[in-house]
Amino acid sequence: MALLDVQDIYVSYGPYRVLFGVSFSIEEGQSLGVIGTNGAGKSTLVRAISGLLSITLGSIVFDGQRITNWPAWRIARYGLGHVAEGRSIFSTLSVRENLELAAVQSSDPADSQNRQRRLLHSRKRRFIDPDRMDEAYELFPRLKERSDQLAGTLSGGEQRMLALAKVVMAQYKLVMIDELSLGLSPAMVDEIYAALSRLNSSGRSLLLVEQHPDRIVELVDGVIVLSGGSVIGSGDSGDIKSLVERLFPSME
Amino acid sequence: MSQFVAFALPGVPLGCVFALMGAGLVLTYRASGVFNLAFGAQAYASALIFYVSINNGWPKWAAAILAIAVVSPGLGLLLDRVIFRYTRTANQFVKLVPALGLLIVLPSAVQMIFGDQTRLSPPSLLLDPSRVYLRVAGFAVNGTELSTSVITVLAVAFLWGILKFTRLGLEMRSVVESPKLAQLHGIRSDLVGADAWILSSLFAGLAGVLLAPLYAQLSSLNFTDLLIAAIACGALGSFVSLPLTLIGGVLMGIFQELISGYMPSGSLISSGIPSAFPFIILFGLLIAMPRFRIRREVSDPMANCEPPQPCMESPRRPTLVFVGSRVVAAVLALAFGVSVLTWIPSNWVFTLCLGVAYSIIFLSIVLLTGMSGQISLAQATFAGIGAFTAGQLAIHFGLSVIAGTIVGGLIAAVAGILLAFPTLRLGGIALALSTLGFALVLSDVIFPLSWAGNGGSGITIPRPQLGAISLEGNRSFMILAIVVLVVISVAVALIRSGTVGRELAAIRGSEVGAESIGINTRRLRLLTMALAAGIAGIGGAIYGSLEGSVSSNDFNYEISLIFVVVVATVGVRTISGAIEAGLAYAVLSQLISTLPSRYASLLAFLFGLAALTYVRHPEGVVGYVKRSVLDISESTLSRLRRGAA
Repeated sequence: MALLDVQDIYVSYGPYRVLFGVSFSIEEGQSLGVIGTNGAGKSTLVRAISGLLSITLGSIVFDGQRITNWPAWRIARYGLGHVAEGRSIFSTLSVRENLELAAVQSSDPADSQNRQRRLLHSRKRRFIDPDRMDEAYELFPRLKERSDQLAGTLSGGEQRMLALAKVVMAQYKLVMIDELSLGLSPAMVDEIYAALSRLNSSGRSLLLVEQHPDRIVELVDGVIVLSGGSVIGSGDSGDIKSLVERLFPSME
Repeated sequence: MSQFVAFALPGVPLGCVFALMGAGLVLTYRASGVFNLAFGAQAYASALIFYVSINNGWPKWAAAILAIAVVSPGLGLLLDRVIFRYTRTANQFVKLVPALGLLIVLPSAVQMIFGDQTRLSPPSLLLDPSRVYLRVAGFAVNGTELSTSVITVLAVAFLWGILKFTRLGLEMRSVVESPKLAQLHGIRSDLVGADAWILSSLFAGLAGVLLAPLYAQLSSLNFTDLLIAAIACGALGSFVSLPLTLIGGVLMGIFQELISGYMPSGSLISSGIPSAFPFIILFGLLIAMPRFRIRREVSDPMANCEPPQPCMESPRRPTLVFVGSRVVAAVLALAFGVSVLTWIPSNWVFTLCLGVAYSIIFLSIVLLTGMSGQISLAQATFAGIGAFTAGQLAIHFGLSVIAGTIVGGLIAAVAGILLAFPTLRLGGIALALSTLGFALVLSDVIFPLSWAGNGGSGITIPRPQLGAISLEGNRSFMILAIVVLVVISVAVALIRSGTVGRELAAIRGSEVGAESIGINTRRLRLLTMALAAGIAGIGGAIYGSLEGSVSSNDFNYEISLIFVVVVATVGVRTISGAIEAGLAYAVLSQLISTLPSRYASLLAFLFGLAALTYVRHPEGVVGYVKRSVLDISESTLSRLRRGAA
């Protein structure tokens, strides 16, 4: 059974309809790329899955549970993460506090086996598993130097690093990452993607939203192409180049 | 030296009082994002409940539990569910208006429920206020002083710990920045936001019950005055740091006692300065600390997740509806003019004329807040400057009141520039608070002087004389007032439709953005502040001449707050909104003055209550109704057309 199964969903922003019957699925441990131009509905799709937008029609099943129109906090606690486009961090909190806040699920192993209990009880104490904190800092050592700095004072690239480090803290089964490389220098993009592939190899499934398909080729197992709110093409990672050439002849 | 200590020591418990309120204010601000000017009113409400239940024979502990642990947090929860959960992503003015409304509603509501009799010697919760528990360097510490000081230190430490070290504190701070992003972290933003209000209201309840016995009489005014001092010590901690708020409070208490100790007694200034001291400090801190300057605001990163707001400007209507609504408005205006000149009884003409005077003052709020997005809580003060100038010139120099009104407007405009210069770099809540500080200094220190407002006894202002024509009667004065209103309305309308109006709209959107496209925001802010102050001054002079005599009580800061609430409620974005607000305020207060005295604050209550709807109808209640009427007539019209075709 697929880890995430999105069936024919329709989504509107107020009076404006944005998604028209989008379907796709992600297998356990696999990763998917979502590509498309501006306004294709990529961000809307991710926001609808993570519960920020409500779905008018269709269903979403994640990890054996129908999560359609669950509140966003419940979906996050259930193990489906969303790194939002742009600044997905709290700039008025310090780096360390951002990481602490991200530790959604208990580090208690018995607790992680009992999903339903985890839904009811968020962590009341502010004790964080030091190993996990180390893992997050190991991913981006630069964050450790700045752990007491306010996150808003980090550079754009460091803020994206922090957003990814938070994923490590939360222990999601699937993370949706919206245009992480937007506006970063090529060197910084390399660093971010190296971290992404480490996250992926440690067993987390990824859903990567990008405008430019070339960066995600080596990371994803499959890809879907969105345009005008519908899926207009899909394929394996090997098919990306031919898909892009066929669907966006102007895009190189 | 020993005299210095003797003067300074009583300042410590007084400073703890400031700090206790200040800590509550900072807590609410950090945990809920709302600058809760109604914190003092919440404290007063629970002190009153404590007082009333003890008078009804309840044991002290039961009354304390009811007031502090039941009613106060319950009220906080109610406020969050009904109002403030809708303001979480809103801008500072949207958050400020319901808080101002609440500041007015709460005391008048409890007054209507429990009656408005004076309540002497409020009971003390913990220790006996008349007993001396210990002596420090010869200074006797009584029960109230001891318990407030100890509890303040404990409470500040406790709150600081919650915000800094607990998961709840972390979650509260994250929800203030972005409720949606917090949800993506598995946080139930709604519950955490409600928790923040429950916690801060609990604290308000505690502060209220503890502080009540410091005064001889339980009155909401004491708590509001205290809150202003609390804002000043909160400002010392930049409204962020609780320990600095505590230190700031204690220092302020000591300074205040030192000043009143060393100040020569007798003169009016010496009685005004100590009580105005916190406001002077507040004003100084706001303009001196770089922290309050306009920066790129920390905005919600998930703001673009919401569907776009419906447009505030009136949509294009079909010609028939457009012309029809204009004709109806013109007929109503004409009918109003004719009625005023003919059949309406003279005392009602007086009331309506009061409405016209208010309308002029309210136009200044439309210009400043509605058009350029700056918040001033000092417009009644500027009105006072205009009124007192016109009056003093008429008394001492025999100047005609019409000339006096113009001079009054000019002097108010100069005062506006004096206020605008130091506050040019401030935005949002810091600007609002600095204008409040200015208003308080003026009404506490300057207005009581005999050459200005002559305090509570006031001064007389005659009705004007235009050449040979006397404007003594209500009807003839009304004509003058309407002429002034029309001239100023047209002027404001011209400003709005011209280049300056567009530039002001840009500043309202984003001051930094306006600067980046080459708009001289400093010049514009000086200009609008001066114009608004001048308009308020002219309105105030007309108000004074109509009333015949005015005192500093007519123009204190509470009047300013009520003015802002009334205009925001009725319609802060349009000129017609100001006029409707002025007339409604005058007529309703006339109607309510016929009710028993216990309902004297019903008017403030009604407007305060209406201000709570501001979050959902930022165009104002009247604007909303008008739009609905036009919408209905438009759809009826199109249905009729379709039926005909």
